[in-house]
Amino acid sequence: MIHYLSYSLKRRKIANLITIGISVMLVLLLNLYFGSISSYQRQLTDLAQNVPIYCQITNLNGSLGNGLFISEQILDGLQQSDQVKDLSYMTVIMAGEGDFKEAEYSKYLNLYVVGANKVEAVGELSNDMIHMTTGNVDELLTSDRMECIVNENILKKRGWEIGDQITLKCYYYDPASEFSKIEIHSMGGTVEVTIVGTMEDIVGKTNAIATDVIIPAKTARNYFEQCGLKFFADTITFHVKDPLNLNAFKADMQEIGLMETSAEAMDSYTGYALTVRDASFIASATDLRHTIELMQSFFPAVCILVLLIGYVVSYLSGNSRKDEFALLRLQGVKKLKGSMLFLLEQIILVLIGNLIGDAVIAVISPSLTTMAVVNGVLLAAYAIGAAAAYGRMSRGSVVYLLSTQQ
Amino acid sequence: MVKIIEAKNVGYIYQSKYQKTKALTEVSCSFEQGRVYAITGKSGSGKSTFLSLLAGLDVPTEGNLYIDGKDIREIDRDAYRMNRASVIYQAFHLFPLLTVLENVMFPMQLQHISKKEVKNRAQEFLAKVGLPDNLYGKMPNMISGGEQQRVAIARAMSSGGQILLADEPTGNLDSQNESVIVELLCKLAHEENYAVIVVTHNEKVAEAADVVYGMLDGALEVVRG
Repeated sequence: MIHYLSYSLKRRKIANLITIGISVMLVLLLNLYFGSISSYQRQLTDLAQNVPIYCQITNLNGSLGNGLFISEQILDGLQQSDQVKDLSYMTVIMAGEGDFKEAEYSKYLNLYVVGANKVEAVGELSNDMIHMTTGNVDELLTSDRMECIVNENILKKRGWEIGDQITLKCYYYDPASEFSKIEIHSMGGTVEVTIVGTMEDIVGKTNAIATDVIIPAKTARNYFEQCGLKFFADTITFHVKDPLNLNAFKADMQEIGLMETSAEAMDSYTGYALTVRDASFIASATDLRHTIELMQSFFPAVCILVLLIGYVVSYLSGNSRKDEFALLRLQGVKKLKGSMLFLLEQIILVLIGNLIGDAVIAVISPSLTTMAVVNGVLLAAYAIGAAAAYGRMSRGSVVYLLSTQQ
Repeated sequence: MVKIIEAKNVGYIYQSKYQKTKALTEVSCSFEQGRVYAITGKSGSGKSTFLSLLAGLDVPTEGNLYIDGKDIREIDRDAYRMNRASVIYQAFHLFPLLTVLENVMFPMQLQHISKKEVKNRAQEFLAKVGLPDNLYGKMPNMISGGEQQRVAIARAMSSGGQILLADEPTGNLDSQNESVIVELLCKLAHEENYAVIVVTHNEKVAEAADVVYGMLDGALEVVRG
């Protein structure tokens, strides 16, 4: 029987080429279909990077995003949360150079010291605006070293140099202050920090916060602790780690103690509300999800279409080869074996078509997963259709087929 | 002589959706090896139906048909056609995709005979039916009707079954080829010990047969025996 199969594959050139051609076309069309679905799925996954969801801690009515008192509990909760990424925070301390009498604070208190965990936490400052003599700014800001970066104008004015150790007397903003009547109090004593870099002056160029000295956020926090004071963050921003799982994110934020903003709430400096800028992400994700669902809903129809093509091609091929089938039966070949021979021949041709189609697709846009799905669906659906067609053909009477040939 | 085929009161009814047609009525006869049988009769008399039953392509609806003493309903009729009985037709029915030689090799390939032996034996059979070897590699549609029928006979011989059933084997041939085929069939029966059963309206074929049955409206009677 294998001999007959090989002769048939070799000698029915035109018919076989047509079947292979149909198979190639099906591979290309199915790749287009499945490729589009996987492309949309990729876009949905990549959406998190392309359209990140930005979050900011605000006061309850959402009117303030910085200059707030954000508790350590909220900061720690966010730092430990696995739903948060790119967390940036900073705190602002007022300072004066040297040790001066507290009564004279209004004369000496002229430096804005920012404790930040990242360069981006300081308004619109970026890494290329920082000039370090040694080391790396990111590494510095995540450490708790007693080092600082100074605004280049301040450096010049005060005659400081890189490597100088400066003494600062610090004052903190009192969280118990009434709204719009903010009070400051001495943290007690002085602190010494070494200048390790400079920053370009961004005040006036952007809407950045006035910053004269930057120290690592942990250094600032440690200093608060040493002084027996509660640490408060001034600003906290971050991104949602898994934007496709917003429900889990929201549940986690609630657990941390963050609330939704309410426009009717009173003005305050307490930061415990969460503003999530997810509208554009949700709109894009919803559009993509709808498109994917719509395309996936066609899957049964696509399978039926391939099955029907398999049936029609095999039926037409079988119809033109009924005499061959009858002859095989006349020679004593069993009905099932004869049908299987024709079916196997079709599957081999479809397989050849698949391989050619795969080769074309591999050149255009290779995706092993899509190829595997396409080949699987095509072979399975086509084989079912072909089996139905040859099953139908084999039901014909051999006597009738041979007599009609006469 | 041993009866290799025996029909006892065989009847056959064609049953379509709308009607029943009685094609054979109480046919009783037997066939032995080494003889040529002719079954004659008008078109529609039931002779081809009877030949189909003898070929195991169908089974009687009434009575019994025995092959080597076994009821045809109880044997593997595909194996019977593969190993015991071969059929040739007026339209030759050669495999269009196979060459002359490959057509003759086919039944032996089904029997899993070695490749080399298959080829040698196929060439022997083709030589026996007098086909020149320059035609062995040709496709069936490239040779004449008489040559095609000789290939069909060689293919029937290659199964080694020794029962040859022929349905109007000379129907499509000119008188010269007709004589060659009749002569070949007789030679197979008398020299190779085949049981040759020929359905025909051709008088020449009937004259050459050892036994002649006549069929009329589904009933069989001995005309000459």
